[in-house]
Amino acid sequence: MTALTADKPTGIAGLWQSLNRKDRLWRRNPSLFYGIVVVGLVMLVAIFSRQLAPYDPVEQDLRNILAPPSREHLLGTDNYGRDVFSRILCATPLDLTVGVLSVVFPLLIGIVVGMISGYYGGVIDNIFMRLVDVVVAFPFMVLIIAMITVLGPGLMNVIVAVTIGSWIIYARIVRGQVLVAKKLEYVMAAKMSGFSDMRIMMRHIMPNVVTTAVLFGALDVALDILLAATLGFLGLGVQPPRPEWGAMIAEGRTFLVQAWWVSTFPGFAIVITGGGFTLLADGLADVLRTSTREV
Amino acid sequence: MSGEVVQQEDRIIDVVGSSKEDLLRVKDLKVRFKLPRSTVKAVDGVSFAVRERESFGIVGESGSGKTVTCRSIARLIHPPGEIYNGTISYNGRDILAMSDQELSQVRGGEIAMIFQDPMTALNPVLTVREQIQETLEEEGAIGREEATERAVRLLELVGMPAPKQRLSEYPHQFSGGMRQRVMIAIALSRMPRLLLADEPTTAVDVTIQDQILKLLVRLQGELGMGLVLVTHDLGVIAQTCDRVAVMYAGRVMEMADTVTLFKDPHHPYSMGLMNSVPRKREVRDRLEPIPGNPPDMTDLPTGCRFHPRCGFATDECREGHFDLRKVAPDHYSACIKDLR
Repeated sequence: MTALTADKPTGIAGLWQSLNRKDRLWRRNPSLFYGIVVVGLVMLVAIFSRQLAPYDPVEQDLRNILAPPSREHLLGTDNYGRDVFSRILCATPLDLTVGVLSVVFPLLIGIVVGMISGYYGGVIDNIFMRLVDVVVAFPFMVLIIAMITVLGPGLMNVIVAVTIGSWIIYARIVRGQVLVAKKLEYVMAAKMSGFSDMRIMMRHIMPNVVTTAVLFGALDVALDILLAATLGFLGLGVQPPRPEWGAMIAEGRTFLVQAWWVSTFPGFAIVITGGGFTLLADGLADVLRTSTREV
Repeated sequence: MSGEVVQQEDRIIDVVGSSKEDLLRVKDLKVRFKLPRSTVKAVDGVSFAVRERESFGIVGESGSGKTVTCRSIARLIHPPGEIYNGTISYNGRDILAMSDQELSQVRGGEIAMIFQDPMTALNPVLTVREQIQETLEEEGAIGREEATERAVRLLELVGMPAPKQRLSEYPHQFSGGMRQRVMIAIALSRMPRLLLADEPTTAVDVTIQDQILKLLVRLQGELGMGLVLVTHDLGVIAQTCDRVAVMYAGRVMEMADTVTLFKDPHHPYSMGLMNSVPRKREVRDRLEPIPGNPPDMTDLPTGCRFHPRCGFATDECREGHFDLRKVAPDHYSACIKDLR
C-alpha cells in the first residue's frame, strides 16, 4: 500500500526529517541553511566572546581615542580609546540574551493564555481578551519606555517590559489557532475517547497550534534585538560601561563625521544578527508551514 | 391542557418503547443553536430507541438535524448549541445528567464515535501507534509491548495490510480509506457497546465506501455492538441498517425497519426520497426530485414541516402538531393522512 498523499510529515517531525534528508539543505531551503549558519556563528561568538576579543572591552586608552581601523584596532577605537571590535564581540551575549528571552517569556505566557482562552471560551476568554485589549490600547514603544522609566533601566527590566508588552501578540495568535483546531474532528475524537481537557489541550491541540507562534517568535527575536538596541540608544537599556550595540551606536553618533566606525560597526552587528534570525524564521516557516498545509 | 401533554407523553413512550433490551433511548430531544439574531432549532423533539446489537440508521438531507442528533448522544454539542429538552438514556443511565467524570468514562469506553472526515479526524502530529495506544492507556496502564500487540490486532481487525509496519506512520501517510480504518480501530480499541458513525463514508469514494460499510457490518456482528449510523445516502442505509429514522427539518418523519421503509413508505417525504434515487430492476424514464428546498431553519413552516413541498398537503397539514403515530407494528409515520 503506497501512501496517496505527499510523504511529508508535520511540525517538529517534519523539521527533523527535513534536516536529516540526504539532499543538500542549502539548495532545498537556502533560507534555513544560511539562517542556521549565521545564527550558529553569532552564538559561537557569544559563547567565546571573551576569548575572541583582543582587548578588554571596558579598558580605556585615552592616548588613542577615535583611532581609525588599523592592524592593532581592527575596527578602530571609540572616544575613550576602547577597542570597538572587542566591544562588539563582548556585547553579543548580552544582545542575544535580550533578544531570545524577550521572545521566550512572552511566547510561554501567550501560549498558556491563548490555549486556555481559546479552548474554554466564554467568560474566561472574555476576561483574557479584555486584558489583551488594555495592553493593545497603549502604543508599544510608549508602553515599554513608560515601564522602564518606572522599573529603572537595565537588562532584566528591558526583558520584563518587553514581555508585558508583547505576550498579547502570542496569546492572540495561539487563541485564533485554538479556535480553529478545537472544532476539528480529531479534537472531538479525543473528547470521544474520554480524555481530560488538560490532556486534549497539551497533547492534541498544542502541537498543532504553536507552530505559527513559534515562527512569529523567531522573527520577533530580530525585532527584539533591534528594540534592545533602540532602548540602549535611548539610554534605557544596559548601562555603561558595559558594551551594548544600541548604546554603542548612540555614543558614536556625536563623532559620526570624524569617526564613522564607532557607530557603523555595531550597526553591522545588529544587521547580521537580525538578518540571521529572519532567515532562520523564514526557512523554518517553509518547512513547518508546507508540512501542516498538506494535512 | 394537561390531558394533551399526557397524550403526547404516551405517544413518545410508545415510539421509544419500554423494552428492557434497549441500549439507547432518546426521548423528545431538542437542540437549539442561539445565534445573535435568531435561534435555530436544529433538533426539535426527536425520539427513538436503539436495541442491543442493532444497527439504526438516521437518514436525511443536509440540515435535517441528523448529525446534531448523533452528536447529542455523546453530548458533543458546544456553544452556541445547547440541548434544552429531552433525555438520552444509555443502559438506563441518563447521559444528559451525567457528571463530567461519568461522561468521560462512558465516552470511548462504552460509546465510541467515528467521524465524517478521515482527513481531519486523526491528529496530524501523532503516529497511528501513539493515537491507538493513547486510548488503550486511558483504560488502564498497560505495558508498551502489550499495547503494541493490541494495536496491531486492532489494525488487523479493521483489515489494514501490514499493520506492524504501518503503526509508526503518521496519518498523512495513509490513504483516505485507510485513515477511516485507523479511525474505526481507535473507536473500537476499548470495545464499545455502542458505536456512533457520523457519515462515515461521505468523504471516501464509492469503492472504499462499500468496503468500509461491509467492515462496519462485520465488526458490529462480531463485537455485538449497537450502531447508530447517520447518512444522507439511502443506499448506505439499505446496505447497513436494521431500522431507520427519516429526519426532516429537525424532526423524525418516519421510522420503520429498513425493508418496510423501502417497500412500503408511509410518509410523503420518505416516498419522495425513494423516488429520487435510482433503483435496480426498475426502469424509469427519470428520477423525480422532491420539489422545493428544505425550509429555513430559523423560520420553520407551521404545521407539518414538509407541507410546503408535499404534493398531498391540504389545509389540515398547515396547522397543528405532528407527532409520530403508529401505522403498523414497529412502523411510525408523522403524516396524518392515510395515503395508501
